[in-house]
Amino acid sequence: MSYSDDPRLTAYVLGELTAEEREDLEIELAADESARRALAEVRQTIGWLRAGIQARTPIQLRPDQERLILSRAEGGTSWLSARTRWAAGLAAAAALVVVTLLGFWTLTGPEPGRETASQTAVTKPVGGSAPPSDSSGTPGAAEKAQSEAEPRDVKKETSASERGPERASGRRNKSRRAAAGHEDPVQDYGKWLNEDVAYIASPEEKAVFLKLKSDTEREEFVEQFWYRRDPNPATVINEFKAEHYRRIAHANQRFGSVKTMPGWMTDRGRIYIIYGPPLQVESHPYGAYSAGLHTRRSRQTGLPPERANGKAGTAAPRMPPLLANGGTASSFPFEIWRYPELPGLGRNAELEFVDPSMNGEYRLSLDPEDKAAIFTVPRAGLTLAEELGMATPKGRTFFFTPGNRESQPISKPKYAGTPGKPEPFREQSAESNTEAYDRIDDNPFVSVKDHPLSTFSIDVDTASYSNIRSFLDGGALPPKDAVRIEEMVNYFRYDYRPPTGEAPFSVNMEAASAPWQPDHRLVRIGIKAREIDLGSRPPANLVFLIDVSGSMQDELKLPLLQSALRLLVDQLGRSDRVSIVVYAGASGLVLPSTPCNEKQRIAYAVDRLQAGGSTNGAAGIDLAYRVAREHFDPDAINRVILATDGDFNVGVTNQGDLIRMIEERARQGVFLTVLGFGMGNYKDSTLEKLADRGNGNYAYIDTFEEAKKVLVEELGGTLVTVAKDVKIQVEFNPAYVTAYRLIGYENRLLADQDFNDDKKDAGEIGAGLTVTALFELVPRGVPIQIPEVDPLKYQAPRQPTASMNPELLTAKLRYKQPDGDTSRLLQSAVVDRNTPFRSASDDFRFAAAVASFGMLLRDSPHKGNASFADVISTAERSIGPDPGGYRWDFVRLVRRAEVLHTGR
Amino acid sequence: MRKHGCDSEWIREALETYGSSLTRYAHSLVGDLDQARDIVQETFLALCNQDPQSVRGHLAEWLFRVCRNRAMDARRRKGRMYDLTEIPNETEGFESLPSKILEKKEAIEQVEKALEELPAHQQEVLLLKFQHDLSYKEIAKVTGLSVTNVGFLIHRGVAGLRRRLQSDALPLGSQVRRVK
Repeated sequence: MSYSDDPRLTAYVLGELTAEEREDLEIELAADESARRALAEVRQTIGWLRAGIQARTPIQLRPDQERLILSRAEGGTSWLSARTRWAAGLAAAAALVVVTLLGFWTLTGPEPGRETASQTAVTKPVGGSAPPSDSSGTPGAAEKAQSEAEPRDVKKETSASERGPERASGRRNKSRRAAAGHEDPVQDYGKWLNEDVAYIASPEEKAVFLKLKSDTEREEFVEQFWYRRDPNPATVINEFKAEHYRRIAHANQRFGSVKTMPGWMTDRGRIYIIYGPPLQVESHPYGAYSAGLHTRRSRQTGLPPERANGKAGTAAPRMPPLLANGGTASSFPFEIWRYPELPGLGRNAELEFVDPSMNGEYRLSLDPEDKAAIFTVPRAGLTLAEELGMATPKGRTFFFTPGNRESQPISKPKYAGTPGKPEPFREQSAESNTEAYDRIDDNPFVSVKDHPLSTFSIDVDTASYSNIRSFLDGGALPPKDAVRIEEMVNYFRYDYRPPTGEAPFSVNMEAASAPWQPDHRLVRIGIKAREIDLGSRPPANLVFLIDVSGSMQDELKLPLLQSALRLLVDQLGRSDRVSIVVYAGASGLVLPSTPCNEKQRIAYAVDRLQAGGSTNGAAGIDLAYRVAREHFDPDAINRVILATDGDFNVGVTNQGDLIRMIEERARQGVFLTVLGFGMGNYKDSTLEKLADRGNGNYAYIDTFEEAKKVLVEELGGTLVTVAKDVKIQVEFNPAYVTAYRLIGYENRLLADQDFNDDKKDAGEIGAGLTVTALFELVPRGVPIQIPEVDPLKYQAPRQPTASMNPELLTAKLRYKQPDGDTSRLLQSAVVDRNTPFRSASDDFRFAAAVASFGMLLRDSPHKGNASFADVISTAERSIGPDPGGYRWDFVRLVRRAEVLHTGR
Repeated sequence: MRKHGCDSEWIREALETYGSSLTRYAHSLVGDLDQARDIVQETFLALCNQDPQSVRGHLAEWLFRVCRNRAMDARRRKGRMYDLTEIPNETEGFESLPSKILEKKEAIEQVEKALEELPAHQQEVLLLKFQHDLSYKEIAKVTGLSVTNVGFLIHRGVAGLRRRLQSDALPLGSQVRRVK
């Protein structure tokens, strides 16, 4: 039957099929393209439908009606001993979590999903006054009266007129957010971190947050934080966040007291917030002997003996609860909470809370270690699906453009598949993984006598680092050949002195001992390119060449790319032009060259990109360059920006021809930037070669943060080249150096004679960027084993002549102006002052730490005494100001790698 | 220390959780806001007479069902019944219309209008599903239909909606070739 009539498709999207039906359908989907298309249409329609419906304004009962209902309810009640809970209406695959029915309807207009919880809910102790003017300040923000210690209503927005004035005296008021649509930004980030999310944010997240510098960054972090935990991003409401604030409110209402502390800070509050409502509460407000049947409990397990011993037994007299200090409380109020499972206590866990001070503050009566185990949520920060092993943190792409949430496709749930059903964890099996890296052998030590010169091309690509990050965040160590140490070191910004005079860059050298081999010296050569005032940069003529083949469909690819492009276009202005060319099967011009003040038109074209089909990269590239040449402006930045996962697997893809064409165009002034996306089909070596020959740079974009870094923060560097074909040649002084080793740059080595050969291609430097190279030197007098060349028979050996020269080495740089053809020379020398490593600058030590990390990941034969622990401690001590938090993030990655490494 | 488990507590929670959506549901059935509110009020008053244990686990169903019954009563009095099991004549399916490209924002704005054009029973189940987030089973209980029927209606409704949205869509300004 035609799939368009098949109700299973809708049921599948809504999670209504049984497991069997789902499996059967998935088999059919895998085999049938028309079925998949039909499914995609269903999804899309459902997305619109939901969005359209949620945009409606809410309607409520009248206040008098509510009062009537509540007063009827309060009359004639009977005592209930346990709380009731509501079954879930979610389609999420929740196995561990106690689910509560969440029927939050925040329906106030085009900004759905923004949580209405007053951010100060947590900070107001019970009995406090109404929150300050964090409500948007809309006049007439009505008060909702409530009964004694009512939890703050975190669920709904209501129009101001719906809620009546205060009900009766003695009841606390609560102000409401009356504004439709907009969420208030968090007013106090300190409180947000230390109170609202104190129990659910991981230590790493907290540390990153503290390092953020601007409110914009914090705002985005907050959004991201909640988005990551949203179990069903396809719905408008963030169910996790709503529930979290509900719990806080509940805790404040129930567990706090004016005398001691707000509810959320108490033990019971904490447990409630982290683990949710217990299955059952047994309450003994008058102490042990008011309870009915008593049961003795074992001190070790906290469980009654029949359970501790695994046998059902008769009940024995209950012992009074044990206090943390070992005493017992015979007549203090206590409560027992039961959970189906708790970490540290296992299944059928029971928690005892005692109030020895008789002031309403209950304490958890456990050994301090047990208490700590319960209070630490070890996997805080992981979403439910990640905890179940069904998704990876790597899949947390950052979908937000600040202030422009509508740009995100609602019909694309975070997990491909049924909304709420997480995508199965992708195993990195050897067969399915078609990533391809060129093999790299670490540069060995070479003797200065035989090889006094080291020549290589400058490199500012950073893709290797993002790629490594992607692996580590996904829980795997990267393949050794994916680790290019120079790209890792160059990922970070260093504070080198900028150039003066007319040279496009400055050279800054520093020398100290090598931390992994204290007998050896480490020399860092740092190049800093001229900054460019972005306000006065030349206009840009950009062509986006986008791979829309089927493999780009993954959420880490095309959707992330779309967000990245929107970002870039936001930075451009009316004198810039962009065009979009796609390639997949047939190539097409999706957007002709358009000035960048027509942002809507461009955004629309970007939004409509869809993946499907196979790739014929060559035809697309041809078209893209043609478009770029049509609008070529000698005074502008003319660039093709290729965005792909490197999958050139169909059609005529003679790499040689392709590369020749790219080189030719580069000569004519159209440069190439390559942005790599996604994992699994990621052809690293192809992409690097293309960028190289195209006189451009190459970055791997694995997260929205990375997109921002490449396309916004380093926009100048990405677009504006200040020098091209930059080569470096270092000559070592044999009076001081016996042998040396260039760390990294294995792919970039040049023959010594290439240095002066202007026809030989080399790397580019973009405006404002830094380039760093590290040499490890063996000083004279330190023994080293290197194969030596036999003395020559027909020539006399060269004698060192500069033995009185104190210089350690001289670095020469050749470069061309971006539109020039002849190179210029710059040179600089360094004298070693025997500085110990610990006295070197922060930048030096941090770079060394990164290099060590690279060597560890590659298991390099030259890693010496390097260890993950050393890397971490060195890096932590040399973080410096760290704008953007990238160095801090590096430390996090090293920790991850350490864990993965020891776990092997 | 407060005593917990007081009856008013669960009613209050139910009211907060469902009050608004029930009111909207009733309104979609009877059309008259005041009447809708009265129906919902009656529903909650009826809830007060229930033992919480008896509705535990399926409160939403219960509320929507009771609400619906009352709303249907009101409609019957006005002669505005409709038959849920009626099968529409038009064939509905997801034919791709390759020349119409939908802009997402436009589509969302048109959803209201397109919804209203759907037959009443399709509208109702679509709203129950997508506005009130009830499961197929719950919708079945509320409306008295079989679960299979509900699935059919929802699928048809989604398909019908899409067709209506696509036929309303305006062709767009720039020349674009669809590249697939």
